Amino acid sequence: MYSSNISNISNVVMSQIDFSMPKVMSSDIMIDKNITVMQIMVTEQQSTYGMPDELIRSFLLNYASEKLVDFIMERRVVDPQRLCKVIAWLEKSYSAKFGKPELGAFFDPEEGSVFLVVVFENCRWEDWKRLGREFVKKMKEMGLEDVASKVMVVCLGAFQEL
Amino acid sequence: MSRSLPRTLVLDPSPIISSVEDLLREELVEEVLIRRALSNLFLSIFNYWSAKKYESGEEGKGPCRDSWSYGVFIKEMMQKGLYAEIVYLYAYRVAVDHYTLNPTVVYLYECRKNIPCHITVSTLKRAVECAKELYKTLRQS
Repeated sequence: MYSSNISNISNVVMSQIDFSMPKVMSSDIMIDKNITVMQIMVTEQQSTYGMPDELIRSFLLNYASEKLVDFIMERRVVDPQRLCKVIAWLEKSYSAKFGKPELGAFFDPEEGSVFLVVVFENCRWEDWKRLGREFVKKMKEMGLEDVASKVMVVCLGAFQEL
Repeated sequence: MSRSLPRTLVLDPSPIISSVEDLLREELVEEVLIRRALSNLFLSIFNYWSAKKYESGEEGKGPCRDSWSYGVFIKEMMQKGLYAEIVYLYAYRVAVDHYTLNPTVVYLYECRKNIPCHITVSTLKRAVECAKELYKTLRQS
């Protein structure tokens, strides 16, 4: 079922996309481990199918522990499929400069409200301010502002530079 | 007396921000004062935001429908693109009110990285910068 869905997705994708980035071969998309940003972007942009949970889980495991991925899938603080799109965009846009993003969660010690956190290690204060503005603008364009408002983007460098 | 005044006027954070700036002009600022100042900055902006919501006719929780959570506040600030400003201020607010050591580390669940917090005059200066930007944005909204 999973392989079949992915195969369908990949057929649609491979026939329609004018890639501005290196092409992903359909055989890559069949692989259920180490799902890449490209694969997520390909499936989310071009397919009318929902992403299978296994694909979502595999993608998230690139950024988060198994325990956190379980938490995300079970608690549904944000829609996991839409979260993948947000992370894919962040990785594509900023990882070359700020390093690979990592996922965590933050619980407010008084209210218990929870945020998912995307951590970049190598970005500084001015980068963070700029990233925040760009991120919101892009998420609005992509129709993902609801997810973006539940995901804290944190630049650790800003906490280390003073 | 304050009941007849708009809540946004009564809860305008300008006097708090100014008093923290005054504090920063002192040569020596003790950690306990930095902690209270950081916490005040966050909460004064939060109060102002909730006053804006109340006056706009939105209903919060509680018998008077005048209570909102930090979570909603932070989400709304992030929606305005103010990630750096609100997350920095919020992380330090948690550090100064809920953690004892300095420097300390604010814990992120299931993340290999946590948030290091140095409670210093420099961080208080940056917190003022954050508060001013948040206030400016809220005033214009």
